[in-house]
Amino acid sequence: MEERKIQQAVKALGLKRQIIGVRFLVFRQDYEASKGEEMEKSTLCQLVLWAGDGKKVKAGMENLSCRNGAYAVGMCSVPEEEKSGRKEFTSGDYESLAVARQICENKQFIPQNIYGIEIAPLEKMGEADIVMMIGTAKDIMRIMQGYVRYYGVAKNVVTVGKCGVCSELISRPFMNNDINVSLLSRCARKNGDYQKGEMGISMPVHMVNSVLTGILETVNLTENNGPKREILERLDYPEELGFSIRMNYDYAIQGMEYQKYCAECMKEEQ
Amino acid sequence: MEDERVAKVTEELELERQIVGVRFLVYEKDFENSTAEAVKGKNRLCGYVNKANHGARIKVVLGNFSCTGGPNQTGMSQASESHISGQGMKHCGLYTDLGIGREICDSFSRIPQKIFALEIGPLSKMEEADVVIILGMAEQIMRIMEGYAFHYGVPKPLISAGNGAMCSDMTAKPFMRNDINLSVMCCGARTSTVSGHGELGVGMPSHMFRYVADGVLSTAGSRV
Repeated sequence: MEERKIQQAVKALGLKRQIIGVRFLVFRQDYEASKGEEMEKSTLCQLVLWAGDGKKVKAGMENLSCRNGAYAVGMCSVPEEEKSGRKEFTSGDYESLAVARQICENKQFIPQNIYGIEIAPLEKMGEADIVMMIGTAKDIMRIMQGYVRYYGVAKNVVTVGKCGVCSELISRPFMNNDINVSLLSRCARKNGDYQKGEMGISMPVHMVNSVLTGILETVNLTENNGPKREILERLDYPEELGFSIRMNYDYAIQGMEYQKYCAECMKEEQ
Repeated sequence: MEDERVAKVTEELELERQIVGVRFLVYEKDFENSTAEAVKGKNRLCGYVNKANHGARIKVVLGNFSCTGGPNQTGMSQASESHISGQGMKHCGLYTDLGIGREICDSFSRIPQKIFALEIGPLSKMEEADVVIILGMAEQIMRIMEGYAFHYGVPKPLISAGNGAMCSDMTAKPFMRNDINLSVMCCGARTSTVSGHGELGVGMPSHMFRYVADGVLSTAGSRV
């Protein structure tokens, strides 16, 4: 992964947490070969939190304390009571068994066997399967603008406040092979100690280069002067993003120029 | 309308902005009959929703808009050929090619019927509404989605491209798709609503509001 581009995108967005990668360690040998630090029993959301703070961590079934996390990434098979929605229904979070069953199906847990998981800042990873970013709602808007620039409208975004990290930010983007946005969930917020304005976005790794490029290419077009000044304050030198920050300029100016061109063409044709 | 539910949800979620209703005033007569205050100046649709967030109940016609997105998406004016074709989107520089620009325009889900004006106000102060808009912090909007899921389960895929947030994501899309939609907002809406970095929004057809509100209250004591 191009380290420079990751750092440029982090500065363009002003992310407080690092962009992280998630790697599926399919076999025990993969797990043993991983240089990630094995943590005390913890939840998947906690691992994501630590990785966002710069740590490279790994976990297998034995040191994962949440069952949903283990189900989501294929570390153990999903029992019938879970798949059927019966367990979810007992939580009282859904009106009927049918609603609970649909919610469970929508978690899209990974069906193949995976021994463990490695989570770390993206630039510290040799390879990754999923790339995740936790940031403010505005950061997520900018990341989505970067995605749309190259891929068009995202067609698989679903967030229902349940399994915010393990499903919405790991298994769903992997299983759909597409970006997903998550408003996180109560347990993720509690375990990850996230701020009220924070949420997440995640995508299969092959998309990240275009998305980061899209974020950088839309800085001048989308941000107004206030955020542009904040970006300049974050930069070590004015062209650190690979281009100049252009004040008093946005996509509407280019759009208006094109409208004028259209009007001239139509006048000539009449 | 829905005064009691609005008050309970606002209190439960500690919303700082009022929950907003948008009503389509189809004919001029509907506009005249609306008791909302007629606006004199010009603003964007997102600017008007921001006023409603802070208590104003207003009605606006095409001449009150300083943006083209608001009236185009809500049936008050007809989008130009250059817009519908995606050419305008391509040439404004946001998207890498015409196909993406066209898809973005198509995804706006413009309301195709003619609408004369809009009434926009705090939902609790309105007699009728067609769409309900809630802006809040990510955690508050998470609670709204939990409330939605309590009765309705999984929503249709949520569509938000960081463009046309108020006019499309939170007004036209929920109306045309007859389902809730989440918006990560756009730069214009963030500016007009003076939103903090942690804020975003949802729009839903008004008939869903009572069930979503009930769901929010039913899941208030959720264990996780």
